[in-house]
Amino acid sequence: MKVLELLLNCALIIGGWCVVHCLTLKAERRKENRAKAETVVTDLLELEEAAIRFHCAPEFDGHANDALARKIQRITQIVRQRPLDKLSIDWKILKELRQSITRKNTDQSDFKPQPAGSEIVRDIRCAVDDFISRIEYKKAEIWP
Amino acid sequence: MTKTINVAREFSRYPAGRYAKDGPYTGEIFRDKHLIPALGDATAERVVIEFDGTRGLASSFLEEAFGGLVRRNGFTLGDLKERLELKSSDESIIHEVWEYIGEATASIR
Repeated sequence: MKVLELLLNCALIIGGWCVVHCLTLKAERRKENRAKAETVVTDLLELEEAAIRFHCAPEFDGHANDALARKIQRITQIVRQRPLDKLSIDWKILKELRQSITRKNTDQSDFKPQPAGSEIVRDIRCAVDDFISRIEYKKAEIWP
Repeated sequence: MTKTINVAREFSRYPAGRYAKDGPYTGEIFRDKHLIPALGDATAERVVIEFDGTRGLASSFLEEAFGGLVRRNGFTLGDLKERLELKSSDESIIHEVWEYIGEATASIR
């Protein structure tokens, strides 16, 4: 009887430890995923600033132009890979981000410094805002 | 016969820009040197364009290369839907290219 009691206690202790361990791991993973999503938000805000700096600069900067296109691609890749693929960022959001920054005013031959409230600047801000809103919404939903 | 063009391998890993005067790997040059010859080849029933492997593909490049087929070279949306196949692990690029072809079609009507 005592052996049975001992076995039951051991089973309860091990079972309890397993449950706590699993829940802790799950919480840790959620925290890590949230942190990764927040890094993308930071990257997007940096991209927004760099893109507006490029389009509002007095002269065309080829290096900055290349860097912007590569950064957009890096962000696009990151949100399509695990675990951030769970955010289900729609292709429309990715397309709008790329278009807002790299469709107009990105050639030396027709570059014009943009004023603060220009359509290009507004489009960049809107595309970045939409992207961040989607991340925040999905992050709260799947990794509360 | 299917003709496949891998942008990164056959053109540049870093395609950039719209007009030929703006660099060696622009949308206009890709269109003139790769897309038009491939689409003009009567033996190529399908022309497959692969985008994976490129770095920093810009919208201006895509718009000039593919929208330009309609705007400047007289291809129609129907021709291109029938013969052009786009491949990319990033779905947004494929949608974007078809959007430019659609916009160019609407602009010449």
